[in-house]
Amino acid sequence: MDLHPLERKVLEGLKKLNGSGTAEEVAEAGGVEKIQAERFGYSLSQKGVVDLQKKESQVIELTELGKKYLKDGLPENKLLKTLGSDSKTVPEIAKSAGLEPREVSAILGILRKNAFVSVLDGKVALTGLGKEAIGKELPAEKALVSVSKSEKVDEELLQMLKKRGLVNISVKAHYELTLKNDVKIEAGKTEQLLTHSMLKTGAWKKTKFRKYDINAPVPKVYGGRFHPLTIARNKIRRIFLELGFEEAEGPLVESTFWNFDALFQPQDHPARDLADTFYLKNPKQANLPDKKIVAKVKKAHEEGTVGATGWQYDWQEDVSKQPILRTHCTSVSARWLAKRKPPAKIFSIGRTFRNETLDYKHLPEFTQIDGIVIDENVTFKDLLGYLKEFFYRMGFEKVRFRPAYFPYTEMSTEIEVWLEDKKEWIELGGSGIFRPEVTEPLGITTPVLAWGLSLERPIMMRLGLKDIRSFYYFNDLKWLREVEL
Amino acid sequence: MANVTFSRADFEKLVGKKLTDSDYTQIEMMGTPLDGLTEEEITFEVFPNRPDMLSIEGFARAVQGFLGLKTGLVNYNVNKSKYEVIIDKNIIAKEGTDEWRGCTAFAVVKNFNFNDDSVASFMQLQDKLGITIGRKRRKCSIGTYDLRDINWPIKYTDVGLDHKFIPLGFNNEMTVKECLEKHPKCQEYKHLTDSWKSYPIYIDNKKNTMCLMPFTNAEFAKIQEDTTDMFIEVTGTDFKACEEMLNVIVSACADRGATIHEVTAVYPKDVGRGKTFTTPNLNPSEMQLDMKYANQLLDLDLKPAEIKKELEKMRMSFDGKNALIPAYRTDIMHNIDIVEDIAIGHGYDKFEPRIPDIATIGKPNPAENFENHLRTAMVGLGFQEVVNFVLSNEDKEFVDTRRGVDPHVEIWNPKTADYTTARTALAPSLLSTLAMNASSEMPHKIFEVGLTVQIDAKEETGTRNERRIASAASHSGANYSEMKAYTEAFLGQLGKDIEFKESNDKLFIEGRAVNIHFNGKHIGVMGEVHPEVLSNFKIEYPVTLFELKVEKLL
Repeated sequence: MDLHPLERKVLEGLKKLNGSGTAEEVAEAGGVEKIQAERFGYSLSQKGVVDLQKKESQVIELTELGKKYLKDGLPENKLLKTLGSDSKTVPEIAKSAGLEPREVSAILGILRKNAFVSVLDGKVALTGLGKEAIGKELPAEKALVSVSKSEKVDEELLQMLKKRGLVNISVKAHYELTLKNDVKIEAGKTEQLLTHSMLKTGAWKKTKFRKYDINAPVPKVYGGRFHPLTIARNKIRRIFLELGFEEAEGPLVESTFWNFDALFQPQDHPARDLADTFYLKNPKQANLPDKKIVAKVKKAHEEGTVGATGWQYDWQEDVSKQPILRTHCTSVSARWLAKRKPPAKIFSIGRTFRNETLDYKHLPEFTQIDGIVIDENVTFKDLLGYLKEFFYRMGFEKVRFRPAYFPYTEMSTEIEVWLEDKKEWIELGGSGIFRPEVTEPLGITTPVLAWGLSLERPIMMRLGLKDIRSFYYFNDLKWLREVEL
Repeated sequence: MANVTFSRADFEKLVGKKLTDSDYTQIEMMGTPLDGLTEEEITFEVFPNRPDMLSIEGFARAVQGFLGLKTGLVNYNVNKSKYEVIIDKNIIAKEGTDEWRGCTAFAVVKNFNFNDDSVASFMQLQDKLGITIGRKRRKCSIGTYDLRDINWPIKYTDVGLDHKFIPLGFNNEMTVKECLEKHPKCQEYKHLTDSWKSYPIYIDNKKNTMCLMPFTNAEFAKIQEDTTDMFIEVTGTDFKACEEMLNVIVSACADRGATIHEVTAVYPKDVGRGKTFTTPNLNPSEMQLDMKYANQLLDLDLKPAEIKKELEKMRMSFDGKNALIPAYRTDIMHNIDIVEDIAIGHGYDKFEPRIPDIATIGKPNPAENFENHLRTAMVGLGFQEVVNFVLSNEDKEFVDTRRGVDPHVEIWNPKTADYTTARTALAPSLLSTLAMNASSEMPHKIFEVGLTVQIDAKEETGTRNERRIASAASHSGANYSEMKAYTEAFLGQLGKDIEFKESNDKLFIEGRAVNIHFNGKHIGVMGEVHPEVLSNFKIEYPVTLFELKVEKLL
């Protein structure tokens, strides 16, 4: 029989023990580690040489808190004494017993269960039973003592102690090995490793190499990997670059001017609410761009551009200077609109911020893909065309467009893609043609197609993720190392 | 965005057709996503540009057109009347500002048939309008009163804290002061009136207080089960919003068969609107349509008759030159809004997507390309990429790192203590990542390439995005020489002129911290993280890390 050198050592150990022993004993006798005794005991059992059995036993130990209570007595005793014949409120009890109010509430719960106390109008008083119990040994106390002496304890009491965090109950397993057949252990004729010297001397020609267990488990190796967001981001960059787009970027801290005003969102628009937008106290104020642009934006809001009515209110320059964390990357599109002439196609992928509470569906910070096409001849059909092409290249074959509303676009659309496996439409972004009130103040007189899409949602669909916090927040290395892309 | 829920039976009765599931799917193509559909109820999402569709009557009106059941403009008749509201000068004392609630719009509605359905939808409409157009009463709010009780003319004036009246839902008279303290609506909206010294009320000709603005109506003239005739007032800080809200409500009432009657607001000379005017004005407005513009933008070739047909589906009208727009459609601000209605009438699903030939050349952002180059180098060295929030907090950035406070972005309205600033460095992000992964298999070798935000007065926004790369290794044997080896291997791919100089960065153990100089420039730091920092982050294994400024590597 072809044996691993450590298998031999385990067998030798077993023999010294007259053919049976625990893994620990075998390890000691054979001069190997306990884990090796277990592992090679297992491989020997597979080969039919030894019999391996797993034995389990329950171990009950006092926790640190349990030890403390054993020494100082249970707090409920203290509490019973504190109460005496008076009735008191929880804070009063906490004060005189020297306990946290939180602890007091927990202990009162236990005492109420035993009918030792009653609570009336927020005041706690001892019942007859409670008065009798003062100074006597409580069942929990008895149980603590028993545990410390490794005596048997009533199961119900034990579970109660566990629930209160006074004992730890764990199951310990050990292995027992028994030699089945008297195998003759041959002297080691086989070699494990092919060595440098064997190759140098040619000794390998006369060497017989031991057969390996080709399915034996091996330690895990993790290489470096790109983050799934980086991979998606680069795929999207490639698509837009192939379609002839220029890649743009802009500041994370934005003025409300570029984030809202330049996009024709009135200054009392609900999207500007504190509930949605992170406003800043440092820096205190942002500067505005070129005065001419500011004047035109003001006019667009107050009385409209040519042929338009505007929102008809007094536009405040100071309001537009408020610095915020940008709420969308459309601010980047607006900035680049002001510095490019048609024809131009521009995209940006960047972080955006919303003052939302973090949960499995919402992030206060996420990534948006924004794009614009500036050209004399573009139409609504071209907008749909670019988006259809983009999602096709992302792997979504069916796309549909439904009317929506954004203050800065007309023919506003919501883009939905079809998920074949889930048989449902999923919304992945918004788009439209920029209103003239947006483009004209920035010096553009041609139509401008525009969209803002989610980066995270399509990846979640692809990877079957249910919790959006898998991105940015959990940064779970196990997931990042093992995720199938 | 607002969701509205309607009784399905009432809705279909108003539409005038039993609607099938496919009809409802079709209705969504108006831009009103269906949020729920049962035998009893339907829920739609209504976008903020169409407050008229917050009412079941207005929604049904739009659906009639869209499904081709009843198209074109609805003509609303406003009857002449002698109803008058006198506006006290005090109300609009602050000339030129409408901070106070000096803007009004009124109407009288008669023969309104209140039944279970119409009561429910009328309440919902008031509520939704208050949230949307009214901006939670900040801009304007609505009050309705039983016409039978009112002695005309009404006066809109202000009173002090000791003025007495019976608020709606209360049995006893109380002072304004008591009402402000006791009434739940006063508690809810008192932030709107913090600076007020007196409070506006409507009061009838026999001194009956009708409401306390903008909180609550009075018991007097409250709507009863048998009310059929109402006085409606919309009051706030913006005339346009008041009229918009009023028009939506009275059009809805008229659709139920009620008649509408005008009310005259008598403003004192030279303040507010400075004149006497009557509301509601339900005359459609006119806008000349540039048909070429419409056809070009939509890439269609619609003839005037076809445009007329599409616009009539949207309950507008078109005479070959001008579009006639109903008074409740205040979202039409420019030709492009009419073009959108044509497109919706036509059906978004009928537009064939196509890609134009626009000769532009793809141009990557060099910085993004360079980032990818750096990522590849780090992955090659066996490091796992992580991506963290830019959002952070001062404790994590400056206290836990022992670095002390540097100039940084401060959020004025944080929702939680976790996110109060934008990070100025990547190291704290990596340390939190390591802390969150205490249970995953060692060794931990991670890196991040990403943005930080630096205060910079020279920039337009007072800040500057700064790209950084940082890398950390953590395991029981992590030490300075290991990270120095990685740093040299990483930087060595970009150039050979690397120098390490002692640093006093408090993040690291003294004597195991360096400033890295590359091609003669200081580009970042590297070292063994201080045990106090590790304990602040609750990390139980040694950590070494480097952090470099990407721009300086170029």
